[in-house]
Amino acid sequence: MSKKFYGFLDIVCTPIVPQGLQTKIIKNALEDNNLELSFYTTESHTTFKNMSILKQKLSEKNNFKGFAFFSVLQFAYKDKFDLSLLNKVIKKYNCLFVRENIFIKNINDLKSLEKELILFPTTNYILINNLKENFLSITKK
Amino acid sequence: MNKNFLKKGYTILNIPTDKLKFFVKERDKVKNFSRKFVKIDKNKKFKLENFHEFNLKGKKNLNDLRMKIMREINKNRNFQKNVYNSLSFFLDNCLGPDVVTQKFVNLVIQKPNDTDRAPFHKDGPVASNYELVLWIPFVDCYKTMNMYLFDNELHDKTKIFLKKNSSIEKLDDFSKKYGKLIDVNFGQILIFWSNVFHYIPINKENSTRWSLNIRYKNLFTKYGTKNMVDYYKILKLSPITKMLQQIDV
Repeated sequence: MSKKFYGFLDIVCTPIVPQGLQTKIIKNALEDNNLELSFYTTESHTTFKNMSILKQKLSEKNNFKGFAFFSVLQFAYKDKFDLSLLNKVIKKYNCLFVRENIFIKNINDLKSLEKELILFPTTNYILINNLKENFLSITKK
Repeated sequence: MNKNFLKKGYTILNIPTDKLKFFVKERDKVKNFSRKFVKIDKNKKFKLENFHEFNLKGKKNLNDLRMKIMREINKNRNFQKNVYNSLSFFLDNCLGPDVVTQKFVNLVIQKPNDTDRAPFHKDGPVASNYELVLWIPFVDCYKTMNMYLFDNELHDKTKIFLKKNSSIEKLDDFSKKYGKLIDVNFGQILIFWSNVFHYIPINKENSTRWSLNIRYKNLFTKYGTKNMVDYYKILKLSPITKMLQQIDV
C-alpha cells in the first residue's frame, strides 16, 4: 500500500505562512501518520476559488494514496464550501487537512463532518474574507 | 437566569443527582487509568487527590499521563454532550438552540507546589467573547486548589493592572486583594464567561487537583482565533438551521 501523499499548499495563506513553511508543516504532519510527501503543488491566483489544478490532478492517473491540504479553508474560498469536490476527492483518495488536524479516509468519515464543513464558511466568514482580500490586493497590478 | 452569574460572570452549579452517575464513571476511569500508568499495586489504597504521593517510574512524565487520559476521554464522542445535558437548564438559557463545543476536552493535573500553571489571563477575545468555560473538578477542590476569579465589575481595573504589572508578587497580592477563591467540590461545575479574568495560584494543599475544562458557544456568535472544524464541533442545531442545511437558498 502506497504511503505517498500529494501536498496541496494554500496559496491564499502564503503571505502569512510561506510555501516553504507550509511544505515543512505538511511533511511533518504526514510523518506523524507514518506517511510520506511525494510532491506538492498549489493553485494560482486565478484558480484558488474553483480549484481547477486539483481538478486536473483528479483527472489524471496517480499512484499516491491521498492529498494533504494545508487547510480546510482551501475548499471555502468560493461562496460556499465545495463539498461536491471534496466528495470526488474522497471517492479515490484519503485527505489530510493539516491546520485542522483532520484525516478523512472514506465517505463515512466525510459524512460525519458534513454539517461542520457546510457551516465552515459562515463561521469563518471574517477570516476567509480577510485572507482573500489580502491575497487579491497583493496579486492586483 | 442566575442573577449571580449575570453580575459576576461566573457561577457554581450542582450536577443534578440523576446526571452524576456519568461523572462518577468518568472519574473512576481516570483513576483506574492513572493507577495502571503509575503501576500502583492493586492492594494499595489510591485516590486521585493522593496522586502526588506516588512517583512516576522511568521515562514516564506527568504530561504523558495527561495526554493519554485526554485521548481516552476524547474517545467518547458524546462526552461534551453528556456534560452539556447535565446543566442544560442553565446552558440553553445562555447559549440558545445552536451550540458548538470544543472538539477536545482538556485535563489539568496540578500537584502540590507545582509551579507550572496558566498565567493570569482571560480567554476572550482571543477565544470567542460569546463562550462559556465549564471547569469540572474530579476531586474536591479547596483553598489554593481553586482559581482566583475576578467579578465582571473588576474587569477594567484588572485589565489596567495587568498592563502595568507582571511580577508574580504583584499578581499574587492583587489576586489576594480582589480575586475570589471559591471551593468547588466533585459533583459541582464552575461555569465562567470567557471575559472573566482568572489566576491559578500554586497549589499549596496536600492534595492533587484534577480538573477538566470544556468550552461551549452559540454556533452563530462571533468567533475568536479558533473556529469550526479546527477547534469546535457541532453539539446541536435548531430546526431552522437543520432545514437550511437541506436546501440551496
